Amino acid sequence: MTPDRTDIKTGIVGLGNIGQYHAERLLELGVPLVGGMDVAPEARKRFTRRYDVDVYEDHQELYEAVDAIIITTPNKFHEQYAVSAFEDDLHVLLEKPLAHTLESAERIADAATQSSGITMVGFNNRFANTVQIVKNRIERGDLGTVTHLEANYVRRRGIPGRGSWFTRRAIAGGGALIDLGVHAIDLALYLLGYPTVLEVSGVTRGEFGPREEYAYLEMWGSDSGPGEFDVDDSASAFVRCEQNRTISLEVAWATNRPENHEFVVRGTNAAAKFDLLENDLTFHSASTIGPDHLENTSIETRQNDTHTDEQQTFFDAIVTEIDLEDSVEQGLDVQRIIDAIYRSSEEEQTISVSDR
Amino acid sequence: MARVRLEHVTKRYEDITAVDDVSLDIEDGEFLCLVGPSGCGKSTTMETVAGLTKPSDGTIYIGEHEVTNLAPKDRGVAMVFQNIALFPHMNVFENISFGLRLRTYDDEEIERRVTQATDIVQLEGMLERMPDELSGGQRQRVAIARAIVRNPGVFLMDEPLANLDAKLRVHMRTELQRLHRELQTTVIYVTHDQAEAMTMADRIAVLDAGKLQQVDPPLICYNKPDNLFVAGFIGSPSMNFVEGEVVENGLKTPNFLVEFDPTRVPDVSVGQAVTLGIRPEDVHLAEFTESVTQPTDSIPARTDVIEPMGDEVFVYLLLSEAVEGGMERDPASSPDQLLMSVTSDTEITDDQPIDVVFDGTKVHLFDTETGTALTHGITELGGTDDGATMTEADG
Repeated sequence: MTPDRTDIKTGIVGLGNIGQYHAERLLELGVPLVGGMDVAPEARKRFTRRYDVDVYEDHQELYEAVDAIIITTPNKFHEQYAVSAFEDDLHVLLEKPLAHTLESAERIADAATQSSGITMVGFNNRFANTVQIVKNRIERGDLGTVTHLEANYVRRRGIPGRGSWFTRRAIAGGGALIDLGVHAIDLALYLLGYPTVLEVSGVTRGEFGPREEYAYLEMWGSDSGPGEFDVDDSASAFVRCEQNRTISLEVAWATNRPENHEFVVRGTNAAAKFDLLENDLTFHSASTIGPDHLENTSIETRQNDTHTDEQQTFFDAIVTEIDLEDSVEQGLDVQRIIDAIYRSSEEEQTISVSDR
Repeated sequence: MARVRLEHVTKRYEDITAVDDVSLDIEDGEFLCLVGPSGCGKSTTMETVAGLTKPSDGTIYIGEHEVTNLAPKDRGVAMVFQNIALFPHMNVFENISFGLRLRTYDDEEIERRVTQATDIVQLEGMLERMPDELSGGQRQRVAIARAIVRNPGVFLMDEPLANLDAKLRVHMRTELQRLHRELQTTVIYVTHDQAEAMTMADRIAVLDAGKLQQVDPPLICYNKPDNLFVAGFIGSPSMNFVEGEVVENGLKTPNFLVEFDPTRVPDVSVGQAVTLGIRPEDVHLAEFTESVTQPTDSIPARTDVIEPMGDEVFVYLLLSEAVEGGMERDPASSPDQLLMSVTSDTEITDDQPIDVVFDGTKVHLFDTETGTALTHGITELGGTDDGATMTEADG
């Protein structure tokens, strides 16, 4: 019998919102969700009530029952669960970022190489149809050489639950930059073909989270005020890669600017512009065929669920035994840039990241 | 099948005690309903049995084994909740057999168990259907069948019917009773719906604020509630309560006197604050006194709002002369109002003076301060009718 994804017993480590988000998609894909693990009894309870599966306090017990796991814990706890899963040669889908610190990310990447399982870092935005169209067009040469990427992942007032783990450095490892910047950096590098990064200059700011008076319309989670906010809520950075290919990065949970999830991919022949929230994509070029003219080609495509496609890729890789070896390495590259931006801001200077 | 025992189970969270020293002995094969208003601790109590919540204190046994610290999967229980997610791409058979297939039972055994379970929940012929082709009730039956195939010693059900519409809920109640009769498995069933508990349970455990109020068969809870809370919670519409004071010849309330000999009620003394409880169906029109076992003296009232319910009619009565055609009608909270339930063939109109009587055998007395029941039925305790003297009252 040819194995397919309906044979892959899968468990979830970390049964909060993201864990449930993944669980819903496992059900959709028909992947057998067989259990969940969380240290919090309330989370375990909620999970088993909804999915009618075994829940565990000890991850080892879950690992004995599964072939694959999805790790959706707060960043700080990625390492312990991932490394333990690698030791058991489980297939691992690890939510982004790789870890809360570069050191922890390096240990994860190192341990991953020892595992015979498939490992994938959850950069779901790559799977957006618009992004896939751009990626394929780049590979076909439509844009020429991609020289610069404008990567924006900017919320105007969108700090996730002040006081939640997201806003505590000790657990998350950072704020907007590590939470949202991770997506923007991955997308930029992905579209550039993951070039070697030479140096990073950046500034991170904590301007709004620490305020008593913080105006917002919606909040992901609840607000316990500024007391437990010790991370950044916006970052600007410039990333120089080899051959003078560059990325300018704007990331914010909160800033005085309209919301913006726009990516502009500038190539020598054409540019692509897309917005992650709007599902719109335009190619921009210019031509001398006939009178000089500028061309803007608007693309229509279906909006897809990126997490579902991400999971599908993960399980397909397990079934077809295609190693996603680059995934962890790329996750580590992203983490290096995040780390360099934090350092650049702190040391008020450009940070070299070439020597790895 | 298994007996379930909770011994002094307490669950404290930081600032609240969700379950407060609850002890229960549930017999093998019993259908026990944990019932109470939201926040009373009934779900938490069940969760300690399921292993989803560790008690702060106390011990839990399932069968012969102490399970207080065992993981849910090692307890031999199966849970049924509302809203369980089914695999949308798996048909009914695959959804029901999912757990068994994971545990690598052989095909024959899986087939046998699924067939048996689907027979019981009446899903025969639907095994090929996909979840989106099922009604809410059918989906819930799949969830129940999933639990049945596990052959658990105990079923734990937390409001499994809460999301179904009223008609289907009533139908599923009957199905669950039939299921219990066929399987003879111990069931612990959590609900906030006292009618659900009344119709299904062998015994009802009534909880309030984490404390067990009464554990008894449904009709005992209904006819002999241990306290004001149980009296008010069990039964719909609720029991009427009228606060009064014990006098030498009975209970005096702002609008009427119910006569009896207080010396014959244990723990009652003249001057004590006592609450009278009377269910709407035990309030009768005085003109039909002959059909009442032990009528009290008639009480003048005025009809307010009439609510025909079909087989019965709810009549809101105003007791105070001063109140005429008032808009407030909350019989539970006002000493001036009473709810009476009469048969639908009773001729009655609104805003009319009428006299009513209570069935003395159905009058409940509660200590107003503690809420504890003092007596259920006052006639055998001696009213004016049986010749007890008033002057001998209160020793």
